[in-house]
Formats: sequence, structure tokens, C-alpha cells
Amino acid sequence: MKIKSVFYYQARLFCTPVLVYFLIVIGLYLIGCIPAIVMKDGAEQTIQFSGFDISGVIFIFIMGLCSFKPSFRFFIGNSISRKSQFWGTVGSLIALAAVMSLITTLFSVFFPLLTNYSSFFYIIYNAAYAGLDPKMLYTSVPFLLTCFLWTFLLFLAAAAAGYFLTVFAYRMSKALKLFFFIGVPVLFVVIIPIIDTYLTQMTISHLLVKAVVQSMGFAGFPPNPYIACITFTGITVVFFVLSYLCIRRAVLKEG
Amino acid sequence: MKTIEVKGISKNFKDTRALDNVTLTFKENRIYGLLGRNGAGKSTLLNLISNRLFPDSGSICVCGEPVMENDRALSYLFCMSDQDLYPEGMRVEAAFQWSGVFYPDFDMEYAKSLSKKFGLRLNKKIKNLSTGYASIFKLIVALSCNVPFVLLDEPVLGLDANHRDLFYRELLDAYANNPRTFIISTHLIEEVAGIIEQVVIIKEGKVILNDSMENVLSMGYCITGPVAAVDSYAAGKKLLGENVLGGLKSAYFWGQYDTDPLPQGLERSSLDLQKLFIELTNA
Repeated sequence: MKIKSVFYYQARLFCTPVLVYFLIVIGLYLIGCIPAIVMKDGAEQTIQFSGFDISGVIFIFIMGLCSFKPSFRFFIGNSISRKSQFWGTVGSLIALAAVMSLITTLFSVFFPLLTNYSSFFYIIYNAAYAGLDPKMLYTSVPFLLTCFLWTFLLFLAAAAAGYFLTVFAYRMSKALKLFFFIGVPVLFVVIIPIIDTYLTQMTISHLLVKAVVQSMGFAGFPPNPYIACITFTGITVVFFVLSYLCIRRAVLKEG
Repeated sequence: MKTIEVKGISKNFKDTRALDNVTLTFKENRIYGLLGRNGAGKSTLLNLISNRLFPDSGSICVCGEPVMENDRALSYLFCMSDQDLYPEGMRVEAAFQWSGVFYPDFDMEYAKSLSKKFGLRLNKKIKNLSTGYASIFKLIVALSCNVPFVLLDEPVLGLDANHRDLFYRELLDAYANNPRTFIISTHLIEEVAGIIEQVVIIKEGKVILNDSMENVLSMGYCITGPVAAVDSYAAGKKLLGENVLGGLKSAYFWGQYDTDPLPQGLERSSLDLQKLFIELTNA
């Protein structure tokens, strides 16, 4: 098996975009900190800096999207089996998610020094940590470990979704691709809302909200982030299994 | 013994039968010429051997191991094709380095020396290479990989006469220094005739000839003379094709030439590989 070679290649591909992404985040943060530095004491309380974790989810989803077609052609050209390609890529996406979530979690420690920083994890699960000073929280090891685990699994699920979409698209014919990428959004944005409004009296929306609430651990009080971790793991496994089913019979196409 | 064994391979593309129950063996340390007209199934066969495509039926083993999704079997071969499989933005030198990662016996020094001989700039992006230099780049990778089986699909596409000549010399040199099997699929039959040892001809998805170059050339001959005399000679013999020019007729035969003296007015000449190929695939 040439899993190691595939892992190495994919990991090398990720290096530059990840570096650029975090440099941009740090750059934006530093620009945002200028008033705090200029205004001296107390200014950090007025500067909000949060939500960049969500851009991390989008970024890693795009990395997942970009990690198949060009690499597949290159690996096939170098006589590497689809099996090794799959496991090597999965390994590299896991490593990417781990590195990105580690850096994101570390930002939770350092960013509050100059700004009023809230990580995405804290924003949605703050009720689970009610009564604790957020600034103290960002130095608490159990909190940081939970934050890291939750972010890691969220990033991994996003990467798996991106990877699956690109492999799935590769296997589809042009007509099917058109039907899928227009049909699915139309189904969710137009058809289901119409059906839900006029036929099912919002039952579908309520069921969807209920599913999201339960799968993200908001069903009880305080909210439980570990339920979301299980959901993200499930999503990851499903997307990777589907990706494997698509890639195992993928053939080299022209162009 | 290192071999590629193709057993009962068939492959369809929608309603086109590209390969029809093909069975053949590529033995170790030989130079094969894989010949066929456009659409005969040569590239499909090479793509199936390198597991870029999946057969509809049959099996392919490399060094005794099934090639399908088998890294070990796949590591015994390198397939160079006219398709552009390298990522956009990758430079020649980086591609050589990655080849070294995927093929542990890749000879970087040799690749660099070949690049110098062909005038290929190492810092150039692969996508910016001309058709000829893109072929040269892929040929250099193929020759430097040091695997037991090197599959070359249209290797000299876009190469000028000087570079083609240099490539054939380098191929023979590489073969002499480190014997391995080369399977060359090409339309430039006259050019490869001097280097191939074994001829495989595919016609409409079927192997119609698989023999040594020596045997193949000894099996075809041409008889030229007056039309009536040639027609009379042709009776009972396997005729591949014929040309008539004025009152003279040339007939191409397949089979062992009998040593009896020729009738008055007839002349015998041997067939070269290209003529034989044309007659065999036209028939």
C-alpha cells in the first residue's frame, strides 16, 4: 500500500492554503486590535472578535472539495490504487482537521488577551458553562479539550462532506450532475418550503428543527456538546463510506 | 518470471466493443510493438493493464498478482499516455521528485541528464510545455522509473525527427543497461520496426497477431508480375491484399514462402512491417 506517499502528497498540498488562511485570520485580528492598543485600558472590552471558526468550517469544506480530482489523476498516473488514495486522503484530512482545530483552540487562549473574544463553540454552548468567567474558561484545560474535540469533529465532518461531493460529482454524468446540483437546491429551497407551507402545515420544518436541536445536544439543559460530537462523527463516517463506494470504481476520464 | 498476463479481457464503451476476449502474455525483458489502427483498442488495453479502467470481463495479472486495486502489482509498471495527468502548476523538477516518492527506484540523476540531452528545462511548469516537450517530459519519467514494465502509449507524439531519434537511442541504451519490458503503442511503424522484438497487432478489439519480429517478417512476402501469372500463383495461398498498376500486379501473401522456383515473369520481395501491418489490418 502506498498510503504514506498519498498522505504526504496531500498534506503538502494543504500546507500553503492553511498557512495563508491563518495568516489572514491573524492579520484581521491584529487590525481589529489596533484600537485596543491605541485606546489603552479597557478598550478590549469594546472590541468583539468572534465567529472566524465558521470560516474555518467553510475553508476545510473547500479543502475537501479540492482534494480529489487533480490528485486522483496524478495518483492514477503514478500507478497508485484507489484504495491507497482513499485512505491516504482520509488520513490527510484528519490531520488537517486536527491541526486546524488545534490552532483554532489555541486562538481561544490568546485572542481574549486583546479583544472580547468568543469562540463559536462558546457562543453556542455558553449555557453549559453558565456562571463561569469566560476569560477563566479559556485557560481551563477540560473546556479547551472539549472545544478542541468539538471543533475537530466539526471540521472533519465538513472536510468529509466536501470530499464526498467532489468524488460523487466525478462519478456522475454531465446530465446527472446538472440535475443534482440544480435539483437538490431547488428541492430544499423551493419545493420543500412550498409543500411544508401549503400541505404539511410546517411539520417538516418542525421536524428539521427538532432533529438539529437534538443532534447538536440542545434537547436538555444544560446543552451537551458531546452529543454534537457523536453527530459529527456519524456524518463523517457516512460521507467517507459513501466516498469510498464512489472512488473504488472510479475510472480515468478524458481531460 | 515477470510477466503481464491478460486473460479473456473484454471491454465495452456503451455500444462499442473496444476489446473482445483478448488473451496474451507480455514476457520479461522484451520490447513489444503494440500496433493497430485508430480505435483498434490499443490504448484501452494499456489503460486496463495499468488499472486506469476496469474490464467488463477477464483478468490481468502482473508478476502473478491481479492488477486490480493492487499497489504491489501496479508498482511493477509505469504507463505513459498522451493524457495530461499532472497537476496544474507543477514544475518538471517537482514532478521528478514526486516520481521518486511513488517509485522508489526512480533515478533522479538519469532523469536530469536526459532532460539536459533533450533540452527540457527543469523549472518549467508542465502545463506550459509544448506538445513535444510534454511527451519528452513523460518519456523521461517513464525511462527513469526503473520498473519491470514500461507502457508507452504514443510516446513520440509531437516530437521532431531529431528528438524521436534521440528517444529511440536512449530507449535502447536504457534497455541494454537495465533490461525491462517496454510495450510501445504507436502508429509510426517504420520507426519502431528497428527496435521492437515482438509484434502484437490488434484489429477491432481482437489480437490478430502476436509473434516475434523475425517470424512476422518471414511470414509475409510480395509477388509481382503480370496479372494473369500472379493470379495463377495466388491460387490456394493466403492472400492479404493486392495492387494493380497498368498490367502489373503486386500480391501480398501470408505464410511460409515455398522454395520452388517462381514461374517465369514473377518476382518475389519481402514485406516490411508497415506494409504487412497495412495488409493485415485492411484485410
